[in-house]
Amino acid sequence: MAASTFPLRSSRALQNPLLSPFLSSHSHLNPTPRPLLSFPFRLRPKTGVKLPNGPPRSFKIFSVRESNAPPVTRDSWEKSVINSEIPVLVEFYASWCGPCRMVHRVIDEISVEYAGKLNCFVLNADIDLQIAEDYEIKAVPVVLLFKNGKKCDTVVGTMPKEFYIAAIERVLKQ
Amino acid sequence: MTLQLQAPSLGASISSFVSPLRRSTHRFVIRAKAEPTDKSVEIMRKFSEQYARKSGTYFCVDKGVTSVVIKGLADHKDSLGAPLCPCRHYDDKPAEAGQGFWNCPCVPMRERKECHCMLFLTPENDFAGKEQTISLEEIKESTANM
Repeated sequence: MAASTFPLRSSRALQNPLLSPFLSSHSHLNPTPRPLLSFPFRLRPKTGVKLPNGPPRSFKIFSVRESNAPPVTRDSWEKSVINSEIPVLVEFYASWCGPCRMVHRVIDEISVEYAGKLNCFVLNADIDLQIAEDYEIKAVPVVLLFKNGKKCDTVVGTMPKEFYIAAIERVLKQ
Repeated sequence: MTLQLQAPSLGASISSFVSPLRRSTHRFVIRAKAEPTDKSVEIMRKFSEQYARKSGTYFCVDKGVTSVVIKGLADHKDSLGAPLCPCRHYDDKPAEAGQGFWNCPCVPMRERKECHCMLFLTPENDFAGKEQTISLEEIKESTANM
C-alpha cells in the first residue's frame, strides 16, 4: 500500500459502499470483487490517539479539512475545464456538507496519482450558483468528469475511491 | 423570519428528486461561511441524537462528518429558520426551506431512512458507527480547524 495512504483502521467499510439508486448513477457497476482499498474512512481511532505508524498531526483536524485540489470558479471555468487539453474532474461541494469532506480526501489522492493525465478541481456550489445550475447539480457531493469540454460522466454521492478510479479510466480510454 | 412559499404544491416530485420550484430571480448573495450560533448547534445536536434513537439509525464512524452536517443544519436554521439539508444544492434556499421537502428529517429519510448526508445511517450501512450520541465538545473539536 502506498506510503501516502493514511493508516487504515478498517477497509471493510469500503467493500460494500453506500449504494442506493438514490445516491448513485452507477450502482450497476458494483461490486467489484474485493478491490484493493485505500480510501481512509476511519480516520479517528475509537479511543485514544495512538495509532501504529500514525502521523504526528491531529486526526480531528485532518478529518474535516478543506480540499487540497484547487478551486475552480465561474471566472476560470472556461479556461480550466472547457478548454483543457486533458480530461478534467470537478467535485461540486457545499460549505457544510459533511460527506463532501470524505470525497475531498479521495480527490486529493486522485489528483496526485493522475497528475498530468487528469486535472482535478473543486467547486463550491454555494458560491458558483450559475455553474451548479448549468450542470443541474442537486445533491452534493457530486463528481463530474469532462473531456474535450464536454461532461461525460457523473458520480453522485460518497463512493469508495475505486469507484471514481473506474469512472476516470473509462473516460481516459474513450 | 417569514418564509416565502413560492411553489404551488409539492406535487409528485418525489420520484425524480427535482424540486418543483421554478427558478426564481437569482439571489446572488454570497454569504461568508459564518459559524452557526451555539444555540442552534445545540438544538440540532439534540435533535440528531433523538432522531437517531427514534429511527434506529447511527452516526457515521467519522464523527467529523456528523459534526459538519449538524453545524450545517444549525447554519440553515439560523439563516432560513429551518434546518434545510446542507448536502443539497438549491436554486432558492428560502423557497426550499418554506416548502419543506428537504428540511431535516427530509422526506426520503422519513419514508425510507435515506440520508445521503450520512447523518443518520442504518446499522447495516458500512459507514455506520455504533453511536447515537455526540457531544457539543466533539462537534467543536472536530470542526475547530474549518
